[in-house]
Formats: sequence, structure tokens, C-alpha cells
Amino acid sequence: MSIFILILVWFVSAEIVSSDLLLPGPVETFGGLWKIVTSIDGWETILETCVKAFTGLFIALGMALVSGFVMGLVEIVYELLKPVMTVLQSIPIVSWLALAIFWWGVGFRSPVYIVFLTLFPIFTINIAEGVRNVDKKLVEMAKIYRLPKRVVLTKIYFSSAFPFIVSSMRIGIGIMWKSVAVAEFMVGTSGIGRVIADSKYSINIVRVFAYTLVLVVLGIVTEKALDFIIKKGNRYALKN
Amino acid sequence: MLLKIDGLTKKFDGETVINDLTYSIEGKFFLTILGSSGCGKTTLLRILSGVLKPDGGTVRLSSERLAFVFQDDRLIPWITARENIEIASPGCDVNGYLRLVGLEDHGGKYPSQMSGGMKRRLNIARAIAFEPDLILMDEPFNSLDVVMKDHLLEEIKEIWHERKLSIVMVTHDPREAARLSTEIMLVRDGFNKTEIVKLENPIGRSADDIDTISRRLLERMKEFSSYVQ
Repeated sequence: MSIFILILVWFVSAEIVSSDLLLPGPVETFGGLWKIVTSIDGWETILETCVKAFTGLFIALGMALVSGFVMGLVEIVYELLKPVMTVLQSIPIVSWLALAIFWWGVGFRSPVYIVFLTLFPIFTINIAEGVRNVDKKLVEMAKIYRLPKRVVLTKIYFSSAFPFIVSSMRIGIGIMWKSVAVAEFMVGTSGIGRVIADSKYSINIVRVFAYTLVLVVLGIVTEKALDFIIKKGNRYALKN
Repeated sequence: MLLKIDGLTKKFDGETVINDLTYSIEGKFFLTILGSSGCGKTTLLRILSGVLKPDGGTVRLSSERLAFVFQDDRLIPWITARENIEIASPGCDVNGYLRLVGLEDHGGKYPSQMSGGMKRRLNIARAIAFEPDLILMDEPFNSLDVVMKDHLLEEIKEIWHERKLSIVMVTHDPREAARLSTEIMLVRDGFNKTEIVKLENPIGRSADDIDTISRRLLERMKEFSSYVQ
């Protein structure tokens, strides 16, 4: 319902402005979207962006699981790395972009690293907090009953951290699409961000709108997918 | 089983919880530590289990496999009742132990779906399934209804009798102590004053004997607490 109101407002505003250059309406934009999804080029562009985004996401998640667990388990590592992560988290994306051109050049790598750099500290801090949040009484129980280390890590620590991992994923996925698009826009050679940049130069605002819509849809789809995964893993979140 | 405590002292934030406790017991025993709440009984059990280090004195315990019935249950919340037993004792007869505590129909439930009494029973089943040579029990019959308490009390007595097993139980209920123990340690705050009551084997102890013993224990507990004032 709210979506329809939004589209209606958009439609009316576009009619008032009545210029595709300033504000293309929903009809033009969906037309542009149709062109994208019916062309191989369009799908290639979307796919390239997805590959970069998810590569960055999974590298960040994989490494954050290790660093987050080590930080969560070892107090001294936590004390040492917490400020580092806070600093990393505070560095604005444009600074990374400026450096990325020199460090990794334009192309595939830079957007992946940008996604990684923005997500890694968020994931690490959240996982570390999740691990630290573990019920110490359960750890004591595990010690008395001599549960193997592997079991303690998976059944007690990982399960305790699971809700934290999920919530950081939720935040991370939104940031992921934004940062990959910006990175492509600035230092990419392909993907949605690049095409939006090209469209800007060729004053094809309809295409800017259409690809923005693609990003929005990607964001919604991934969030729904995450919800589905959470439901599957819900038993971890089941708590007293 | 050998338990030898020598000059044991434990402080928390400068406050003495256990003050210079010396005690020893040997052979197969069912030791009950009887005292009012907050007198350091749980702390003593945690020290015996090895998760807490004393500030002074020594504890010698010959146990090779020790189980603990926690006052706050400490079940893993995101796995089922069945898995909570399996995780501590892989390959054990889970169904048998669930039946022992009357949970045979609830093996698939998560702790959050169980009542307080059910969680306590699962906690007890986990300890027994571990096949320990010593069980430390912290107020194990709290939060159980009268019938279930009676049933479990008899079961634990049987298991203690049949197996190569010693038990240290903490409670404030003199009747529980009278029904189960081979030896009772009456304690006052901070273990400043203790008194040992030695009993015969609890197997076959008559109802009259239990009445007499628990009445006597209650009298002693009253004297202990008036001593405090």
C-alpha cells in the first residue's frame, strides 16, 4: 500500500516537473528497467555488481568470524583491536576510494576491497561482542562436563554470537550495496555504479533512475533472503 | 572417594565466604551440607568442582569424573532436552535417563519450553548420565513438586546405592538430609562453625528414624541461628 502511495507521489511530481532530465516518472523509469532486464548487457552489469558485492561480503564475514572470535575470547586482543576497529569503522568511504585508486587501481579489485573494508570492522566488532556476551555459567558447565573445545565453540560461543552475527549482517547488507555502487561509480570499470556514472555523462537520467531501482530491488531481495536464512537458523536464536 | 579440606578460605571482594574450613571424609559417602541460604555452601561446591580457586588452604579430592547439579540448571537453551544430555555424555542411553526423570515425552523440547521443575529434572538426568564417581548437587530438589521430589529423592538414593558413586549435596532442608545422608555437615555463615553428624547407611532407614534425625537436625539448626544473633 505504502509503495503505491510512493509511486503515486512520484508520478504526480514527475507530471508537475514534466522533464525526463530532472525527474523521470515511474512510467519512463519502469520502461528503462524493462530495457535492462530484457538485455544481456543489463544482466551482465547486475551480475558484475553482485559478484563484487558478495565477494567483499563473504571475505569480510569469513575474516571477521576469525578475528571476532579471537577478540571475543582473548581479553588482551580485544583491548588491542577494539580501537583499531573503531578507527577503521570511522574512516569515510571517500578516503578509501581515494586510496583505492593508488593501491589497487581501477577495475574489479577496488570495489571488492571497499566493500570488505566497510563491512569487516562492523562484523568483527559485532561478533566479538557476541562472543563476549556468552553466558559464563554455561562455559563453567561445559568445563565441569569436559565438553570438547569444538563443541564449546560451536554450541555455546557460536550460538551465543549468532543473533549478533545476524544483526550485523542486516546492517552490513544495506551498506554493502551502497558502497559497491559508490566504488564502481568512482573507481570501477563495470557494474551498476559504472553504468550510472556513464549515464550521468550521457545525460540519460532515466537510466540512472532505472539502475537505482535495480539497487533498491537487490537490497530488498537480499534482506528477504537473509530473513529466510534467519528463520531456518531460528533455533539458535531461541533463548530463555 | 577421598575428600580432604585443610584450612580452606575464600573471600569475595574482601568479604570472607569460607573461613578456615578443615574437614575430611573417605570411602563411599553421601555428604549433606546443611545450612541456611547464603552461608557459602554453593561457593564450597564450586571450589570442589575446580572452577573456583580458594584464597587459602588446600582441597584434595580423588574424584576422576565429577558431575554437577546446578541450582540454576545451566541447560544450553538452543538445543533440545535430549541433546543437552547427549552433549555431555555422547552415546549414553538418553531415553533411559529421560524416563528416569519422567521426561520421556519431552526429549524434543527446548529448555525455554519446559517448566522449572522439568528443567531441574533434566539437569539431574544430565548429571547421572555422565556416569560420574562424584556428584555435587546444589539444592537439587528446589522447585520440584512434592511427588516428583519424593520420586527423585528415592531414585538418587538407589543410584547412589547401586553405583560406585559418592555425593555431596547442599540443602537447607533437614528432612532431605535425614533421608539421604551418611554424613551431615551443619554449617553457620562463613563456615565459622560447623558440626558433623555421622549416620548409618540411608538405605532402609525407617520413617521413624528419618523423623527423629530431621527433628534433631532442625533443633541444632535453630541453636546455630540463635548463636548468630
